[in-house]
Amino acid sequence: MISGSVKKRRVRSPLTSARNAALLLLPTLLLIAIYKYGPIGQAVVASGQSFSVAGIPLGWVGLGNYERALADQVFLQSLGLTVAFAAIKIPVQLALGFSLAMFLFQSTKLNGFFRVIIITPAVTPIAIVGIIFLFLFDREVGLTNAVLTAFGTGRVGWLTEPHAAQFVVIFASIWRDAGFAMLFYLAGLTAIPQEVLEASRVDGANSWQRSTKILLPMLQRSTQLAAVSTTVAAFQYFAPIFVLTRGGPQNATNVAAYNIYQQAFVFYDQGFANAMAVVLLAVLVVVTAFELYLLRSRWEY
Amino acid sequence: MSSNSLTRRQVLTRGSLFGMAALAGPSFLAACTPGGSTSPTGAPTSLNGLWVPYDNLINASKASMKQWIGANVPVDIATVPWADWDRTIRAFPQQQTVPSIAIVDGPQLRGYAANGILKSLSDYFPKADLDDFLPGTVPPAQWKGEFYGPATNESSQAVVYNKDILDKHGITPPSSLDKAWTWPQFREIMLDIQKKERASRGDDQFWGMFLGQGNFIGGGTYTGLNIIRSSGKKGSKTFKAISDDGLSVAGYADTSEAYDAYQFLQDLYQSDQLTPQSKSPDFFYNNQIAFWLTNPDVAFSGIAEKAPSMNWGVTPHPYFVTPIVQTDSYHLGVPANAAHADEAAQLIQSMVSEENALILAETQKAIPVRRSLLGKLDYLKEANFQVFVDTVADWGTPRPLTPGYSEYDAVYAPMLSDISTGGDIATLVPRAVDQIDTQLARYKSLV
Repeated sequence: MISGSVKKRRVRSPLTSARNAALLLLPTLLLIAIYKYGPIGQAVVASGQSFSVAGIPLGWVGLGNYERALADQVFLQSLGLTVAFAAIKIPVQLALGFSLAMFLFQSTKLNGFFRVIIITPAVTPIAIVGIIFLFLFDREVGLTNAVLTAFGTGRVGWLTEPHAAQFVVIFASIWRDAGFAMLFYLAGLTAIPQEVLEASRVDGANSWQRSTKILLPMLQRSTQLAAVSTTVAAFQYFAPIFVLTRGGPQNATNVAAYNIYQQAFVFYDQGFANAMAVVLLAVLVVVTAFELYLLRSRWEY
Repeated sequence: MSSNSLTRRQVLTRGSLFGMAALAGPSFLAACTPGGSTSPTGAPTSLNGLWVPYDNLINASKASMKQWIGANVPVDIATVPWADWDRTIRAFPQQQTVPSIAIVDGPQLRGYAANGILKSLSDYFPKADLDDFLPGTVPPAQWKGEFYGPATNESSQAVVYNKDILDKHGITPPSSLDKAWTWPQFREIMLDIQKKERASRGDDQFWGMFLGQGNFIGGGTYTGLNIIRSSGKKGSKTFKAISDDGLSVAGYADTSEAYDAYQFLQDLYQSDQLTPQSKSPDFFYNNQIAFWLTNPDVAFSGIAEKAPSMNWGVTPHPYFVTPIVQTDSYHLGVPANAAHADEAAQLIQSMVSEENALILAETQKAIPVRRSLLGKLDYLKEANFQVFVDTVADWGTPRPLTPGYSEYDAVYAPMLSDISTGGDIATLVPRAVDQIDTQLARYKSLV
């Protein structure tokens, strides 16, 4: 018999209590608030100010920097380039990611090898990607032109002609990020019940019909995630442009992220640069919200 | 529960405190990072210097500091990546701790001075010193009558050539300034050599010349602008390249002579294909180029390292109407908010004294900052070096003097690059002029 003298331990504040949960979460929440949302808040505040070329705040200008940004032809052109860049990158990268995932979904002995090959560019530091492409596409000593001239064609100014430079920049971006999209699709494919695929085979569906009528619709969530990630990456694309073209030739690769960098750290126009960054963020939020709605999952399994 | 165990409350409290400390840690460490150390009496026990990652300059600077360090305190030198150099200096006023002494780029000095980033060193450099410093190094370092820091050495530009290739074609370039080639003469010679070499080699991987140090196609502002400015008469707007107050290039960078020179530059790359559309000067070391328009630092150290057996010579910079070579180099400055600014200024004073300026130049085999030393360094009398020295003495001109040089250069150099790679000159020049003037207008209140 349990003695009545044994005190029943009273848990005054269990770990599951809201207060303790909040206390445990506090450091993480603070980190996120300070290092993730803090800079965004700072950018919004700075976008309402004017700064000297030495970065000293000169005073409030209200929405003046936004008016400047929305009237600035170079910024509007860079926004247009960014949207065009994303519009090319997203479908190509998703198609490539899906195709590669389908290829690797078949179990062969070389699967592991191919996965490593395909994912390696995605984990290569982005500045290194820029340098690799610099060596590949230099007009005089690049490997690409060495191959082309061996076949008797003329040299192409890959990094010195506007359209060619745009092609190289998009190609570098898709080459690097295709592995990410593949991973999203591969994860989605492994989650699809085998019974569904077997049933489709029994019903006589060929591989094209299986891919387009069954797999793609069931991979809607993977597509949504890959599309949003690709969009964010496209809007933030900067490092290879910094290494390869510096926004040139003739502003042909001057995407919004590079243009903002130039205004902030080359021309030291901090208020203007922050206003442009906030506009870019707003455009990105609108585009991703549209994608999330358009690609919302209509299937449960 | 053992006595070492913690209660849940203690875990939660300490965990939260640890989290707070983790958040505050970086800021705390940043605040504690010294900008030179100080004894309890307030006297420095060491000074901190910020240099660029250029070994020649670092070694020469250390050699020139030895005397001062022996009588005073040690100097710790840190480096900043090239790409962050200007940005780091611009951020000095917002920093709690800054180096006591910094290497700054000569053409940028006016901007730093105008923005109060650097301390005036006029009290440490009397007129006698300024008169002895080579003339290309002084105006960029002056702002509103104050002097903000001496150069470590002086630069120059000339045409380095591969003697074996030229001998093969019977070409002997001039070595004195009065016989310097004009650009049209130079172009004809290059076209002839290039045609014959390409025919004998059986490929198109040979060019007449390489323009600049490899940072920019088109030579950048430092080298490419020589071509444009030389198309104007001395004192003309084309020659000046920028207004006297340094706030406008309209009417200076877009004169009819300048347009002709832009077209000439484009033809060098496009219709004549005399220059590779690449940033690698290695072509010269690989005997794929006859002439290389560059500065002595790059020429002497580059050839010694990459093509030590090359038989090479130097001929003066070509010109259209007026010979011109833009100069200037690395300067020494003291941040306005530096701790131990007085000691730092004395260190700079010592580094460019006659005795130490000689060491500074000799260690990096460069042109000294003081004209009184020109006759005291034997290597300057070597035939190849003599052309660079003569050029500085007779043709040396500072790059455009403006407090907004950084912004000017950031627009002008890519414009030259776009022109060289075949862009439409009639579109590119007005756009660049407009963009530069917009940026320079931000300095109006400071001038």
